[in-house]
Amino acid sequence: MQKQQKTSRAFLFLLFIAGTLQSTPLEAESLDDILVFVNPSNSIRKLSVAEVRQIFLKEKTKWSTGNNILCIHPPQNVGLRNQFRSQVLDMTQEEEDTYWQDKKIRDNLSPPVSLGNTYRAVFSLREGISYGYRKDVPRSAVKIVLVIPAH
Amino acid sequence: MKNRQKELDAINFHCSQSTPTVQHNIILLLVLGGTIAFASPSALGQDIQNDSTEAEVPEPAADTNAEAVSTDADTTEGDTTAAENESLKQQLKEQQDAIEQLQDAQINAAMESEKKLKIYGFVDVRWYKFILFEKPNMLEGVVNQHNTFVVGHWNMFIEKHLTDTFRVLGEVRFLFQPMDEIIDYGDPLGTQFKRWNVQTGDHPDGYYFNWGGISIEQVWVEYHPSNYFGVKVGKFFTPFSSWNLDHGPTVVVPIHLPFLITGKFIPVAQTGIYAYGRAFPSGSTSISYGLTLSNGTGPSAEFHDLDDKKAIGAHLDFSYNGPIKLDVGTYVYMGDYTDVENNFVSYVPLDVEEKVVLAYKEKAISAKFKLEVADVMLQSEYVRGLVEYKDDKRLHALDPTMDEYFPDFVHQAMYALLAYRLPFESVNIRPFVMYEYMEPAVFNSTPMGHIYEVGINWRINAYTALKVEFYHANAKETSGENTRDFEVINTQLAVTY
Repeated sequence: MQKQQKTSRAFLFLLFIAGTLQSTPLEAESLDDILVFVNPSNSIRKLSVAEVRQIFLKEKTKWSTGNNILCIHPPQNVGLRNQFRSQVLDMTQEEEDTYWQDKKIRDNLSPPVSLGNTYRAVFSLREGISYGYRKDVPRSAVKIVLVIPAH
Repeated sequence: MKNRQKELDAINFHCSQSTPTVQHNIILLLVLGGTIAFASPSALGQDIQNDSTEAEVPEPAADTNAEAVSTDADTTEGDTTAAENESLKQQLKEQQDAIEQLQDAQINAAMESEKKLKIYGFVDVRWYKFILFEKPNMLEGVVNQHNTFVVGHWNMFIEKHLTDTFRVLGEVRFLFQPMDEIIDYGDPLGTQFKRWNVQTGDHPDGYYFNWGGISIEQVWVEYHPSNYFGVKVGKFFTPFSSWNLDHGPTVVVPIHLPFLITGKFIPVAQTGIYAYGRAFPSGSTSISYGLTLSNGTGPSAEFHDLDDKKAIGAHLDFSYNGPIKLDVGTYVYMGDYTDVENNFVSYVPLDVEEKVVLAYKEKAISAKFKLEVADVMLQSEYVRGLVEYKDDKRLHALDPTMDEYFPDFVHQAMYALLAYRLPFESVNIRPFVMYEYMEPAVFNSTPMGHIYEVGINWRINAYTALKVEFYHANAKETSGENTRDFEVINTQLAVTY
């Protein structure tokens, strides 16, 4: 009986350690290539960095089909989000916040949503577009339209 | 369907490794589980024993020999560990399923939030003081020279996306006006000074307050099926000038709007139809275009067009967003202003005559230019308007005893603004200088002249701007020795919400 309990505790302890170790990179995620992806049913084949910028700043708001483009960011304060902001939007977080506050009054548009599981969201939503690190993007489930090399 | 499920599983697998929220959730569960296990040795272990061992593994008999007991125990423990692992896997799977459900709910909620009723707006509060350095001055007794706090704007937007292509938006401005509206200045001939009285009693609470007004700034229904085409029907802001559409006080660099916008060269808003679109020749360039068809101007243009001639306008704008930012654009407008009086000719039989008392044609063109290079911004705009009266419907001159009428006229205005963002990373402060030239309509009380302005715009954060400006208005017109020059020191705290 004691052995069972020891085994179960050891298993949970290992998971606990693994979890702790895994949580560290969240704070300081290493740079990697960013892949921009859309729903597999989207007819678009590729986009340029400038076009992705237009989309994520809601300058361009419709796909060629006329459907609204649904931009999806990962959560704030994630390394990926910061890298995308810097490399694609060419903004600091303060500048991005200011941009959206002004855009709301000027064009009555709100910033893109942020979701935890962007892959699932883009897979579920035909109009979705998001991005992720190369190592993480499930290529069988989404269509890659742009690769942004890490600086 | 199976493929879709497989792909979803693949996504979830990836996300369990990489997506921070999911990671955090799983880690949290594991940490909680671990904590419970260590804090209370029996809690999880007991549950496992109850679930797997107690029911399936019989208790060893009391008289069994030690070896047999040991072998049985090892076997039992091996089975139990496997069952235990299976149970943990099952728990993990259940938790993952729960997380997936939460994620789907999160996706749905995020998509629904796009279509929710949205309320936002802006507020600005000012402190200003008119200064008349040069005296004698025609403005003495006309402008308030006491330093004054004032609520500049309280605007509220209400917006709702009905579908992906339809939305409705209204913007209202809450005002203290008509408070302080002067109806008559007193004069030696016996005219009494009269100010609009807005005081009224709040009977339930027993005190008096000043009622205010509401200005409907814009209200429209939009159909926007593609980037290249959209249409707004209702009252919309005229697509001219950088700071007409973009009129939030946190965006406008100085405090006061340029005379080019407020001087009635082109109506700031029109009631009718605005068809527009935007093309993207490349990732860094865009061309915006549009046509306006409206009632034009008039004493009640939002309600009644007092002639059958509709005002038309067109705009074309080019934008480049690369190492530098460049915006150039133009808007042309042509419309008719008509005012009528309705008078009874007889009561029996009832006969009412509509008489046009004022009518003129307006033609105007505006151009805008904005260049941003690194931290420097140069912005300039120009507008020129022509007013041509219908022969017998001219505006009567100010002295009603004279048989004099205003001539046709050209009015124009321009401004140029140079702003520089100071090289502080964490503080967004932009000193600016601005020059304005004003050549107003002949009947406009604003004098022809120049404004020289310096100021500082501090964007404290995304929501807030604090501005200070000082300007000197140099009027060309004088009356005898009297000047109309004036100076203003102005501060503003602007907030968007």
